[in-house]
Amino acid sequence: MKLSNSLIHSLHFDGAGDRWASIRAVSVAGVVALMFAVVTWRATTIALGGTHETSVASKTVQIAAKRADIVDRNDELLATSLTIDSLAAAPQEIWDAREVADGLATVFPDLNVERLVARLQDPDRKFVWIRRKVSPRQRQAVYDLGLEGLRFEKEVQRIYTGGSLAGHLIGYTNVDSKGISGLELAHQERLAAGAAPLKLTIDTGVQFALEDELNFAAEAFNIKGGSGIVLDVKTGAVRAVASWPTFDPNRAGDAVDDQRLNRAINGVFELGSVFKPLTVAAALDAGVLRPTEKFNVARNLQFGSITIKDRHPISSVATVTDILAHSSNVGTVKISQLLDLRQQKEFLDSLGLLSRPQIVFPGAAAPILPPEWNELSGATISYGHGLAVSPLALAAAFTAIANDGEMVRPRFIEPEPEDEIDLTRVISAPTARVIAEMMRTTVVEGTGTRADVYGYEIAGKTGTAEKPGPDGYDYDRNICSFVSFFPASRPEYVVLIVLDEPEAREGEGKTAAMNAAPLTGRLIARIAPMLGVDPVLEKRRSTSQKASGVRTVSDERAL
Amino acid sequence: MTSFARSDRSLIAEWWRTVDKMMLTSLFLLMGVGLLVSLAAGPAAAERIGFSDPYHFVYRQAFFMTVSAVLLVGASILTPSWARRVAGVIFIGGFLLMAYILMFGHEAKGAQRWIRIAGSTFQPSEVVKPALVLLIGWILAQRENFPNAPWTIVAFALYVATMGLLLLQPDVGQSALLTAGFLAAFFVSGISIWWVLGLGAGFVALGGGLFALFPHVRYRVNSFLNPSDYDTYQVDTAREALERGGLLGAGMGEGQIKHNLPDAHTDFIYSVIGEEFGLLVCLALIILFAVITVRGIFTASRHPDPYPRAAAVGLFTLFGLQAAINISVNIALIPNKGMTLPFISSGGSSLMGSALTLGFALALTRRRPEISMRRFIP
Repeated sequence: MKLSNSLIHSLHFDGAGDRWASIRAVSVAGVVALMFAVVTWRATTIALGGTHETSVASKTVQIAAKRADIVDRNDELLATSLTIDSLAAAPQEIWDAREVADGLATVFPDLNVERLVARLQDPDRKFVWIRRKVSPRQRQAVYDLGLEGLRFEKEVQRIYTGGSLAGHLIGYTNVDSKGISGLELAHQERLAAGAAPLKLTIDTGVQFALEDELNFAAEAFNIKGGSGIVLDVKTGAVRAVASWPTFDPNRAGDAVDDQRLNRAINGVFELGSVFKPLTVAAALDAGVLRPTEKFNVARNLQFGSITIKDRHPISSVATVTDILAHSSNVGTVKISQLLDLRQQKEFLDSLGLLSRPQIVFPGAAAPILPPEWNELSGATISYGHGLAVSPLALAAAFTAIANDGEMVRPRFIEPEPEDEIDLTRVISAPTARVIAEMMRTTVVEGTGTRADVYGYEIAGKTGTAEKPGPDGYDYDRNICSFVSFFPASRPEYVVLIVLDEPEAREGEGKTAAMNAAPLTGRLIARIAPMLGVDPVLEKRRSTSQKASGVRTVSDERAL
Repeated sequence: MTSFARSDRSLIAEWWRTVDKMMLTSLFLLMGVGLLVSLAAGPAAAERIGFSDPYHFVYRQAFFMTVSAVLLVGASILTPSWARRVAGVIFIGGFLLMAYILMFGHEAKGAQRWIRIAGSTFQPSEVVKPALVLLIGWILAQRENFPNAPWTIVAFALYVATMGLLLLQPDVGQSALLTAGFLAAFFVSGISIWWVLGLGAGFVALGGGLFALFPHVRYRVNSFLNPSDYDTYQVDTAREALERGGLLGAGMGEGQIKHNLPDAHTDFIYSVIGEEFGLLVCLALIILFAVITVRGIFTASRHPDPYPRAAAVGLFTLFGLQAAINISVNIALIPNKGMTLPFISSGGSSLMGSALTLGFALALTRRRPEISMRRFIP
């Protein structure tokens, strides 16, 4: 009975309907089989490398050509571009805003959870920034949370690896990675094109030493500003150029104007007595002065109502060397009076001190000339008052003294071997050597003794300029500078230090002899080994150890 | 009459004689692969999540494999009518649990699909799914016996109620899967071709409407179609793993993806396999899944009774589609759904759900006397 029931059952369903059911079932199987076929094909093409269009690796390539790095002369990285992720959320894809916010708070502890929950629950928002510029570690931590509705947007960030190191020189970019200051602006096209890093002449070690010494000056002398330059006299390569207060291009927006000013290149100052060797050079080279000539410098000079006098008067006659070594204004004016005004002006012009410097740098400052080039202004300019120039322009002018009369144009980009060095003869080689000797004497026995460092034959000249104020020059507010090169017998580098309004330390004066000069000595003792300058085995002199007060390397080394 | 005497023999012997032994072998092979792969992905996952025992997930997987094997065999021993009763109990229990979790789940901080049982979490929807598909197959079959009752409506009502709970959780992947299983059973149970076309048109219209009306649906689709504009870290990483694996794989233990992807041991286990074992093993796995599914549906299609036929087709579809969808996500064919690979992915609920699905399916497709008898009827 059971069997017959079952048979009837079977017969009943073995009709047309049953057959259709089988066909339907088989067609379901066909659909599933088709899906597996597609999956098989796709897995095969991926595994055998057929398609790459969405791979992560190729995605990074799609980002516009990466802005070129900036490196120092030893390929140390100074500036680079990184692709940085910023975390965003699509609130409409998030079901549980609190879960997302609590999860993210474990990665970003300072996240305002309540505020984020409110923003994620706002039905009108399609897009919410959660955190701009997250680190790779944070990004991975967010991925590991496995939360819904989050995504990373890629942004390019310029990173200055040295922080404020050479910050003024390098400059910075805007949010669109376009250079807007410094070398970033000067070489915008080259950097934007990508490819090889831009190699600067800067030596990171020398740059650091220079900035460190300026920071020390800020503490020791409470300066308002400062700058320094280390310049290769053979090639014009600027090994270090710094301005204080420092500027960190990573935080360009936080900087105040005082920090932004690049005092070494973009500022001009009346630098004072550091001009005196140039005046002597002009007179010697014009043949109107013999090196052995003597001058009576005991009495002040009178130009109408203006009196020119010396800070430390020399009571008797003085040689040209004495005039430089003891920085006599009266003597220098007398020497300049041997020249006519046209000769003086042409000579300074040939040194590039009367026009905007011929360098590739945005905002390189043009000098401020006197309103009229007359007897008085010619006299004051001879000792560095009445003509304001940038420290870089002055340092460049002194390469002529250091380089046997040939002046070199400063450069910030490391030259290729085939590049020509831009040299201009401005004085004769014998004139240059005489001035170099006189400047060496200035350090050995004149105002620059605190700059002396055993082994590096520093030649230099102090400058203590009075700052122009509302009622003429102010005796108490000074720009103190020290221009130098070393070693004197075969100069390799010009070093210029300029300090704005240094204060006297206890028991000391506040002339350049007491601040800029010893600072230069210490700096050269630090950088000469880095620059590969061989020491000169000169005879040790007891007089070279005068530097005191500030920590001096020469003191510490005097064993 | 004599042929029925054989049914007097012991339950196990009867089961062994009638069950699809090739299918059973394939399933145990799959579980073996799953255990092997948990050795590859488990320690990395344990380290990533912070378990001190590197074999935490391996032991867990071995334990659940054993439970699942028992569940699989146990379910396949059932007769179709007992399977229906058991499925009914599981469905009602699971449905109530899902509703309970939805109502009180908020206290468990966002974990609305999970419930905690004896120290480990359990996702009731995994076992509700096969139970419901089986029940729907049976309910629809009743139309032939009792054509006057509103069986179609009942089936739809159960489907819609369960879908509602799933979408509230929300679990889009499971909803899609359930819909596919439901449609397969519905289709095979002899529904009019116009119904099928109508339903198909309805789903297309619904999809288009969702795309047009809801920005977040549009975002998902767009992010899939234009991956370069969006962040698709999981999918990209999975793809690259498969590329790195190539034909023969990077070698066992040499995979990278398992250290980087949060879901490497669950949703993206296929990529781990692709990276370490290569394309050939991947294709072998696809073939295994396809053979089980297609063979199962073919066997079911020859079944004389409408209930086992429709229900088994639905269950095999459930199983096959889940595998196909999971693999498709791994190879960036479709957007990420959050679905596991049956018998391979780590996770107890998923394993037990798969075991129950195939256990029911095996029970319904066991060779029946009726089937043998039919061959002798002219």
